[in-house]
Amino acid sequence: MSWYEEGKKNLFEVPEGYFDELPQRIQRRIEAKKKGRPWYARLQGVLMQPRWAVSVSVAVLAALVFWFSPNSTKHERMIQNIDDQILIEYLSHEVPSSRLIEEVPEDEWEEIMGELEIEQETWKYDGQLPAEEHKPTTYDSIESSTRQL
Amino acid sequence: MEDKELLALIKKEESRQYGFQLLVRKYQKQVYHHIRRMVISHEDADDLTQETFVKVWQNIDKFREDAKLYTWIYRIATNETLRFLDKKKRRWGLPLVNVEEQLEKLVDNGPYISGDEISRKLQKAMLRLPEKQRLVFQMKYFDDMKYDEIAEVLGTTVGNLKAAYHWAVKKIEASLKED
Repeated sequence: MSWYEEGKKNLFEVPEGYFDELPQRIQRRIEAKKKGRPWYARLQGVLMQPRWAVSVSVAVLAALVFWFSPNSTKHERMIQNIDDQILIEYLSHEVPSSRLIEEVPEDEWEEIMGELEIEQETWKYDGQLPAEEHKPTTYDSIESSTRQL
Repeated sequence: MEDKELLALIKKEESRQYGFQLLVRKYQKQVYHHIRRMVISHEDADDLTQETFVKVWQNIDKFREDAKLYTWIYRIATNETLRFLDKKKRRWGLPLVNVEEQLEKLVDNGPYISGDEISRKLQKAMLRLPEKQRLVFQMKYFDDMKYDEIAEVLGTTVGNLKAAYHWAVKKIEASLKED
């Protein structure tokens, strides 16, 4: 007898009563899937998939950078250093701008000026600021922008 | 019970669950053995058989009655099994493993496996075939399915299946001679 006739004998066994219980076990699995897992378990399952894990990590990192970055602009920081009374007097033209400048500590002032220069350089090379509008920062330009406040 | 009667029971809300239980009882052995010959392990075959019938339950409303019910169920079982084997081969972060070699070892030493020497040798020779060829061979040889039925399961032509079966038999013969 060749393998073709002999080989059809069943090689595989199952535990006793397996096929009697299988329909109920399938029904239980269907019920379990209907109820579903709690929302946090399903969310965890989705987030643990590699394609989502990378996106979520990037989003979390971006949120952390945004949260911990300084949220005040340089103008706001500059004004925070100036006494409210002097600002009121300045706005009512009772004090010259030089008096205002004196109120800002020197190291803070240099830092602000440095940031302004870097920013303008970046604008120039990004092409966001037309060349004719790019002027070196002077105390007068600070004064005019402060007056607008 | 005829498939048409089963489907009529499943369509009615009040007899849906009962009809489905009858469907499972009718096809569970065929489906289990179809899967078991591919994955060898009882635990994996058990899990995949359950998953197949869960999918049948979830999609039974989409079943077109011009097709045969058991070829549709076989198709679901085949897809589940191929996906499982593919996952086993592509586990992230683990060195590449030869799944077929592991399965051959399981044929020799695994639980819930009996049978004579020739059946074991045949099963091991089948494991050396490409997956699709193995599926064609086992559906024709063990399940006595017609080529047009196998074509419905695998979504291919009868001509391709006849060629695949011919080559599968040749390879198995050569493999058995080597052993």
